[in-house]
Amino acid sequence: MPEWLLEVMLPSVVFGGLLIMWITIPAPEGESDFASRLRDRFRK
Amino acid sequence: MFATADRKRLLVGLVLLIIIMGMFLAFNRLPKIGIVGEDLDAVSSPGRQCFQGFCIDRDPGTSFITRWVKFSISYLRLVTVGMTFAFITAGLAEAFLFSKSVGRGLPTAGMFRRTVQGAAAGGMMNLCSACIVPVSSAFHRRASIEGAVAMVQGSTTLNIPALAMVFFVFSPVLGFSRLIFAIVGALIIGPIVVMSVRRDRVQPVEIPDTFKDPADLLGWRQVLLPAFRQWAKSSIGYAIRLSPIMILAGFASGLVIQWLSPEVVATYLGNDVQGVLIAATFGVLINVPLLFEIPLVALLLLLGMGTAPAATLLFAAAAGGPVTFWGLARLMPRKAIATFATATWAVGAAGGLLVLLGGAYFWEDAGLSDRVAKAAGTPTVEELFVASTGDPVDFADYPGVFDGIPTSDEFAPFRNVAPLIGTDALIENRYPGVAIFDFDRDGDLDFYVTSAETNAVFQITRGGPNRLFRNEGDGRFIDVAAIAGVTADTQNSTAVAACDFDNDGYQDLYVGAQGRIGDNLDYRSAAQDPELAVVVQDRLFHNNGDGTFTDITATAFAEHVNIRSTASVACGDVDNDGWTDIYVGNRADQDFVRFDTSRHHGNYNTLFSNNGVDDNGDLTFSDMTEEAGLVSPPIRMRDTDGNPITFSGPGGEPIEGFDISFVDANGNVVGDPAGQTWATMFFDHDSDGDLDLWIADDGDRLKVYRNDSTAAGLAFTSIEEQLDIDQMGQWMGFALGDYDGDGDLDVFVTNMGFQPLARPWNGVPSADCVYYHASESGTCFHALIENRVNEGADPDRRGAWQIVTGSTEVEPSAVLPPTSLTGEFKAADDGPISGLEAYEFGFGTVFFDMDNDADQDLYWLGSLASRGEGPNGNLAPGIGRMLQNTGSGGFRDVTVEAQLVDSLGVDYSILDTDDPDFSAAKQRLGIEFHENGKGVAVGDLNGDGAVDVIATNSNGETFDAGGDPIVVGGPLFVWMNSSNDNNWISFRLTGRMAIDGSGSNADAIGTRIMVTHIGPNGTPITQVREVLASSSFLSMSSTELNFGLGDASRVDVAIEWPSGVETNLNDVDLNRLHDLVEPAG
Repeated sequence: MPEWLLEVMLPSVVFGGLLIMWITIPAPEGESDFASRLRDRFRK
Repeated sequence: MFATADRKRLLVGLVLLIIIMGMFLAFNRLPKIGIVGEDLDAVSSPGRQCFQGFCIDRDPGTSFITRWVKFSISYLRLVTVGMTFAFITAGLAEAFLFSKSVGRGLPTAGMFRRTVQGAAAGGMMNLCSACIVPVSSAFHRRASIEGAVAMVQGSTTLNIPALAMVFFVFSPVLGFSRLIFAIVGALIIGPIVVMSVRRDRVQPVEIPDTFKDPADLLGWRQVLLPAFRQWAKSSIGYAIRLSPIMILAGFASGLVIQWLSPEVVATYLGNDVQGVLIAATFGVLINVPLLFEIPLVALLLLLGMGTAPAATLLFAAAAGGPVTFWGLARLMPRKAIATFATATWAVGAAGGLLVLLGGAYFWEDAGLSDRVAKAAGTPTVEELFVASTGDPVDFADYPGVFDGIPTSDEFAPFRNVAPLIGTDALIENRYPGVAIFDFDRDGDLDFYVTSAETNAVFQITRGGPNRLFRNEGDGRFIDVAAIAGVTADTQNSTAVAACDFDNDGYQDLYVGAQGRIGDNLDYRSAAQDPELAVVVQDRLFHNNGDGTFTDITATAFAEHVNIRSTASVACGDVDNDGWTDIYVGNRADQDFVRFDTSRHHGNYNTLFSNNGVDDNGDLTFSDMTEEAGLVSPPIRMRDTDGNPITFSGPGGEPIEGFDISFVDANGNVVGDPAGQTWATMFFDHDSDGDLDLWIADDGDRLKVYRNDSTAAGLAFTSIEEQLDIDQMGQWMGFALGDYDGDGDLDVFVTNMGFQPLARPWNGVPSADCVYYHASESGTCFHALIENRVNEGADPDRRGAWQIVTGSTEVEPSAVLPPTSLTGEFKAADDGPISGLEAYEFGFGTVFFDMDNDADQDLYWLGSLASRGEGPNGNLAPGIGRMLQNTGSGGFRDVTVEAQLVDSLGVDYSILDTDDPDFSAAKQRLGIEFHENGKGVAVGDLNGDGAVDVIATNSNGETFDAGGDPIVVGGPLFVWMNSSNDNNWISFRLTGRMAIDGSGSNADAIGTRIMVTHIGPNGTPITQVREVLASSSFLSMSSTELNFGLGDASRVDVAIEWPSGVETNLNDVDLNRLHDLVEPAG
């Protein structure tokens, strides 16, 4: 595996995981943001 | 204990922080320390001068844009992992550690406490000044501006790895100054920033301890789930907001770094107030990844930066940069940011000025610690020995070398220190030359090495900048060619001579050039093409006396600048007017050198007469070749019956060996009806007080011109036939020395040597060995030409010489005898081989006293086509030979014992051929193991009285491990001579012209010294030397004269200056260099 691909993988995995966490955990009541809207769209 | 939501978040946050920091160390910090180490290794090798993939003037084939992009991408790759961790740590801090509801504790503390806690937390974070911004943003919420700024300062300048490395790498001065700057910066910059914006300051949220957060009533899951969500949201938010800034900053930093040329460093970052102020400014204008300010500063120190600006930059580069300020601008007013940047600059500058002040009174300027100095400094004999052999050896195998001082009959092996002195020891040039001289007049000898042009079309002919290695006096040699302005990288450099043409006391550089290989264009085409002329023209660099040179070619030579493929430069004051003249020996453009036809075109040589410095301060030369009678004659090309082989000249006249139908790609006639000169030499061969000229041509007769100049004008007379030494050969290089100790100077000329495999006979008379050996007046053997003036053979003392090559006995090496004596390659048509005739190819050659036993030893090296293990490598092999003078008119081959075989990777550990473990093949001790040797120069580089040798080798093809041909550079050998217990004496002479404009030329070229002492058997010995300044072959030895004295305890010295003035010194101090100035006449 090329070195640059390894270097790209770490941030990709980290921020991918954080994005999933952001979307899957419900937003506090009354709070609307990008992740909550996306989550609502998926639930529909 | 975890009754409140804050404490629940804090506990989980701390656990996560520990996990993240552990991963951070594993993924980022530890590998990065390795990279920092590599960078330090690189900068401790000044030849590389690299930093994070960017090599200053070491990658000249790439464009500015390419280098900028390459550096910037390297930078971004290095910070990507760090930034990733920074973003998630910032998010973690915001969501768990310093969440909005956390208000107890710090906010109510005083400014100082917030500052201290910010600095402490930052130090633990251990992130770069850009990376720490998101974390400090989160921290700012409860610790205010001073806490956030202190966190940045703590993280970047007070982290333990950085401080440890600073102390590890640099001198105590820099180590302690960096620590003090860091503490001061962390403690005062934050409060200063706060004070600057006191009126605008947004106070941190102060919440009374009695405050009860409703969230405290929630369970773990209800507290932590939103915190995790907030962590993810904040981290991604930081990444989206700050990543573009990071990318822009990476390219901006890359752009700034591109200006770090050695010239800039020398000019603007010296150890003075200006240097400190510029370093502080530079420091706050760049962002570097954490720890990388250390190799950057080490690099700049090696490029000439002073200690004070180094101290400043070590702090300022780490403490903050554009990205830091940009990121923090989101938290605090612009005035605060301006104050932060200014305060960082001021702390760095003030600290640097204190170091400057302290340096002036308390300590000497010394930037790098022993660690770096040792890496590039003088290794021990044992280290050198292992380095030269490649493997550990048993020193017990070398009695007399490592167990004490050798006796006068012994000598220690030479040690190749080229890989250890800061050069990668490879030269990209087919015809590399070297000149040894003291360019900065600091008392020790420096040296200059020539490379091929940078932009050549073909890889095999592509070179790089020429190199000027400054002798630091402590075993280190640092390449300062770029600073000095003598890289000449657009020029296809070849021969070089270092002579003081303007008599200002500093030797200037005449750098020859040759035609571009592979373009099939000769010099006439170059004259019509300004772009090509730049590549093929010689250059004259005037030594300004301040470490720099100025190219004065245009004013010095005007339209007469030489473009005819220089192979040799000889300096000498031929008219004794005190101004050193130049004779340029030209070969032929490599594209048109032929040895398989009777056309053997060379180029005219040129005598440049020095006019002195005119009223405008310009040094000028006139082409006086024709007036002096030095127009090169046509070569001698004969058929087997001795009849001339001629072609019709431009006017129909017959010309030997020159065919005007031989044209280049533009249709221009190739070359001139002249020989291809490889070596030229001025010396007073008939002791009549003026310099005569000897010329060695490849494919013609030896030439000797007697200087018959008078006040009426220059006049030289060809006398080689009269002297009966006009043998035809493929003459390569000259050595001058009194090998037989009779008080007159003898000449050794290298030739192809015994080369039966060289070229098959094709039946056509041509300039090759078969042709020469078929003729009574031709030879491919070397020529040792004895000066018989002192034998009474020349009563009128106008010159009497005898070629004694075959009758000069040489005791062959038991390990590496010449192939002519092994029977392996003996050729019938060579007849009986004897003495020096038995030896193989020679190019550069020199006489010197290798063992200081008061006689002249002889060294040469040379080969043809390629190194032994490359294609055609053994077409004409040459391993180089060191012949020790036996003192009885002969020599002993000690090449192997002296470890002067011209080859890399030789294992000298077993030299007894009867030893069952001896293996010529494994130890690479065979005629097939050789480099493609070219130039040789000698001089006492380390001032120990033992003369050292520098040798150059051609680049060219060899085979890689898979058997495919690859192009590699030619190794540079810097062979240091281990001194023995013999006495010695050396002289550096300065002609009166350098003092008051009278008397002899500044370099004292042509001065003769006679040193008389009592020899071992009680009879007086007189050694004679003459100051020689000729590049033979391609290269010029130091003009210092070194005399070995054996165990003599008293010497008397007589000096004959060219002006006619004589100096006599009795009972001169031994074992030292004498710096002598010509007395007023």
